[in-house]
Amino acid sequence: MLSYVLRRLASAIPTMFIIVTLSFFMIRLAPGGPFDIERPLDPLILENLNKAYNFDKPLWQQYLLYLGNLLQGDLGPSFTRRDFSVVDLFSTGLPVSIQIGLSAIVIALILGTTLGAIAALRQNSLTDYGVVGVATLGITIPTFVIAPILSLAFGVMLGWLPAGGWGTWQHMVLPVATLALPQTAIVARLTRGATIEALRSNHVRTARAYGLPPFVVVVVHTLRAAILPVVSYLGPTAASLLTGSVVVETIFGIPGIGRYFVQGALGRDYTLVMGTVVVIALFIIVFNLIVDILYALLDPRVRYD
Amino acid sequence: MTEVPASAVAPAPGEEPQVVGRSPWQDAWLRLRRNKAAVTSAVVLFVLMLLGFVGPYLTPHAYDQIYPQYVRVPASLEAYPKEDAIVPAFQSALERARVTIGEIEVDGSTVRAPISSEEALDPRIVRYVDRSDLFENARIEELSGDGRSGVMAADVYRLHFYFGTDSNGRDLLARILIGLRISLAIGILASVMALLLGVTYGAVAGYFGGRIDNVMMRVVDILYSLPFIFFVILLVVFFGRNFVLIFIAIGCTEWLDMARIVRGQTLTIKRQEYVQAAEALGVNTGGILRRHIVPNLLGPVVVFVTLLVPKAILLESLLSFLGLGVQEPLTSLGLLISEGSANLRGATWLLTYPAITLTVLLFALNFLGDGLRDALDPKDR
Repeated sequence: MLSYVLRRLASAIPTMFIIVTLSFFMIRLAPGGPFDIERPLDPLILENLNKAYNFDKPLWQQYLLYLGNLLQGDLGPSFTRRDFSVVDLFSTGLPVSIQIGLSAIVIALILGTTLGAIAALRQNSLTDYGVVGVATLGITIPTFVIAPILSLAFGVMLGWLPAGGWGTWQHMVLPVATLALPQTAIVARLTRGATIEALRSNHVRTARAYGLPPFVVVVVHTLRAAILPVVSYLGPTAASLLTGSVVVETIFGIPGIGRYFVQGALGRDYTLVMGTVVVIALFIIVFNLIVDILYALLDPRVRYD
Repeated sequence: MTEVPASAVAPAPGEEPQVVGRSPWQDAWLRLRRNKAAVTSAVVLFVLMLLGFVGPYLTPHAYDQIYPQYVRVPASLEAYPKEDAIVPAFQSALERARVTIGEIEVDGSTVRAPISSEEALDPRIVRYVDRSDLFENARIEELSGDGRSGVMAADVYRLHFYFGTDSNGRDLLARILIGLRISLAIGILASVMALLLGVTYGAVAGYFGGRIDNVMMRVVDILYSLPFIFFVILLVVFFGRNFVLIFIAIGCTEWLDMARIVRGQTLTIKRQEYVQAAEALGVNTGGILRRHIVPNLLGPVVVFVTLLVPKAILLESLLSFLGLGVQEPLTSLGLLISEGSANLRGATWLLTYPAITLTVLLFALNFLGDGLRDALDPKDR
């Protein structure tokens, strides 16, 4: 087990290396620079700035410098938010994004599996059609439609919750709901499909034949098999939810890290963009690993090789 | 499971009853036709495509035509200007002409007001009235002998804004139709792009197998762990926001799943006897891929493409929402929604109509994709 995890983490190093290299050169080869502003800077100032940030060195040297700093956990200074390093920005923003993302995942997981299992157990009943219909709606309506509607309805018209901002638990409700809604829908659909399949499988029939109580058959034997596709779906999804959503953070004005990528890319903030890519790729790799470990725990047929 | 329709067995008189077989495609077609949700979705989709294609030519307003006096007017089936808006508008137009205005009367589609002035009326003052979006064909009637008084008359120019107008005074219906066209075009083109890339890549990897397959799939695995939506954003931000780049960028990100599905299918198909027979007959690799592998892949691929189109549309909408999509005055559904959510207070129709259009479109595509999957899935037979 431990050696498997270590081996997987080791194989993540070349992947990270490729990701960092690709994004570094992609950003650098793009036209424009962080100091291109409306009024051109004095050439002397520009030269000094370039020297200060090592832009005067050849690109391959800058790349090696960046790699060296990255290995020491230094993501460099931000260009658009002066006085802040990229690590500073992440250390304040990431907890906020994780808080919202994690709540959304937990809600989606609990609500989604429950609804999906209920729908599957009463297949082709009104409950089933209701769940499937609502789930389809939840999958279809994009986040950037749900978010302003929720903000208008509960924040402005009813005035129950703040329409935006960050601070108290009330501020979390609408963003979390926005994020959790589509995920709940997807999880419900996945659970429903997998449960229907699992109910027909041999091991569940055997469990029934032994005369186990229905509750045990469903929760222990059926759901354990049915949760597998949900787990493999939630892995990469969790990675993207925890690293923040651009849409939700923009609409509700949340100081997470989801906005940094677009802002950084627009302002040619090289280090901020690179930092976001690195953080997100790390999350994806870690969550894929977690999924594989969970898989082996849930499905005894899977072995580490 | 499927009952045989009467037409499938056609015994001609005096002959041996001849059983006409059905191909898997005919089978799937029959199953699809029986799925009400899928058929309805196909019809809705057809209507939406027609609207996107010819709709912009049929609307009374061009999508980029600006009516400065009709900024953010609500959706209404009645014609604009509303009755109670005519008099104040006429008044303010006449005030600019610096004449003394009598009582303004509205009679059907003409509006009249007696006007007088210290000096002779200048016939050019009709331009003050004509300049307004509300009136046309302004004229001075019943001009008195000394030319100092008369009646200013103008026809009320009636316009319909069934979905209201946006904050620049452009007709929302026309903009939704052009947005629908752009969104559909990007969705379809991006999917075609992903289709070509994914099918070629997956079929080659699956067919050759072994080391080539290993390397090719390893590449796909690495690409998977890249935060790809961010690369789309990077591409669009750095290399300009044009239509072609957007669909290429989306297509380039969506082909990975396709490549995996196609590879898996190819691995199964290439062990079939007919492929071995073709190999034994000396058909070259390209021929086998074209003639045997790719046609047999079509089922799952068709299903995947119908589900890919809504994904691409959604991705494009997201880009537009972030302000990285197509540029003004052109628009897409995502851009309209983003404008709508910015104007949500006081102008809800700017969000509701584009949002409903996008939702209906995505719904139809998803249901059709689900229906196709049910129809083409061999496990269900």
